Amino acid sequence: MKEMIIVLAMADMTALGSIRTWPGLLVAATGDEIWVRGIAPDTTDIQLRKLPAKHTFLADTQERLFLPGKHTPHDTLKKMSWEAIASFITVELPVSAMPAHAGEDYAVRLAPTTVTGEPFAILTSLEHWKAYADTAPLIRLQRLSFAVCETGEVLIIGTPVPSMPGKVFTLRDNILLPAGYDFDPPVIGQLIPKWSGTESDTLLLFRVDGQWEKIPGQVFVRASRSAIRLTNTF
Amino acid sequence: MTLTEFISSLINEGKVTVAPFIKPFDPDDIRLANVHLKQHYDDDSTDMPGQVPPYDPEAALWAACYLYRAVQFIQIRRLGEDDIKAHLLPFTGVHSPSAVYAADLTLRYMPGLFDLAKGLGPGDPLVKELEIMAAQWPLSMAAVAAIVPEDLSLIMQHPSLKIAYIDRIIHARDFRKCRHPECLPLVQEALGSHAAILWPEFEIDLTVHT
Repeated sequence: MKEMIIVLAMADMTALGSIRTWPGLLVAATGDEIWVRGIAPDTTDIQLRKLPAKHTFLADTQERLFLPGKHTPHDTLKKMSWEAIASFITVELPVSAMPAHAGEDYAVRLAPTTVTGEPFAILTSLEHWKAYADTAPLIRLQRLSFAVCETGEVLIIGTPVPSMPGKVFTLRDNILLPAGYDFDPPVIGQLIPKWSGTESDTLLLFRVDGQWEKIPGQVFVRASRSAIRLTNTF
Repeated sequence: MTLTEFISSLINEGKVTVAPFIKPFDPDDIRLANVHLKQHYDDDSTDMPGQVPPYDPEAALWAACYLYRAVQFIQIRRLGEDDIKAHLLPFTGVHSPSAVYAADLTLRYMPGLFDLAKGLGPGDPLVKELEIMAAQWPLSMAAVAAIVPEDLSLIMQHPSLKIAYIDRIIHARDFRKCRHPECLPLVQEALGSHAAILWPEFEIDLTVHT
């Protein structure tokens, strides 16, 4: 056997991004399928095994296709137009997992307040988050979710808020306010959700200087050691 | 089902079938099973706290074979005590944190096996054998309330295994194991000042018992 060939649905094309930099891979599109060839037959890399492959074949030098573990050919490789995976899948600059939508037209002000609220979120660095997760008790991690932006900032939500360096926020009506701050005047807080057109699963994160960002609920990932360890910024 | 298929199905689907008779594992099957187990070690270690112990292939393979045979003995009831003694062999390698973690890759599924064995009588030789084995692998039996470990030294001497064990006994909400003298301070540290949120019953229970 000279190579492994995998077949994916066209809809799963973006999944190939994880192996885009592997040398020697060729890709061909046929119908609603994508065929990938040039994979070493003994490859067990986790990136490959995570691909949503519809079929996996081993091909011999005569381009006969074998199902894994079978000794008789299943089919022969059809003629297709093969091209290098790097040109088949072009690179797009990653969008922020924490997409920022800065408020432009509304000058919202925040001011220190004596009214205390329970901490609900912390904005910290990916480095601190990874260090915390490395040895944090699972019972604490399981209650948290996180979102990362390309600058390496991480917003962690859930209680109890983990103890680590960072900026702590309280939650009120889907609004994350810096701990110890409130709107000036406070009544503005009641108008913000309606004014911003925020969806129910979206958080509005306000900075002390009044700048704010919309953070959609779907960008949050449940915290687990593997999810945190495998998170990297570009 | 081969040993390799057994391991793969256990890890990926959480369900297994076994051959309806006992025969030695094919050498090629053993070779592939080793590859799968090492891969599982690499994958699983990303979810473990801290730095896991180095891989112990002997312990990993022993545990996988043991589990396979144990399932067979539950399924094939005509097999007797002599067969159990001949095929459910204890681990003969060095007991170390590496062996504990490598064996745990498959032995952690033993609690499900105990559920299957519930239908057998308490005096059944298979149940006795499983209980003897289980007592020697406390990390993997953390979720089995009936197995109360006597010696946690191998777990407690390794930072990663120690945290993983505390995680598991908290997850199992096992008061008895959490009150073990070696574990109680670690459980309290894990809960911190948030026990009332994370595990209210534990806080109440400590109030009653201390």
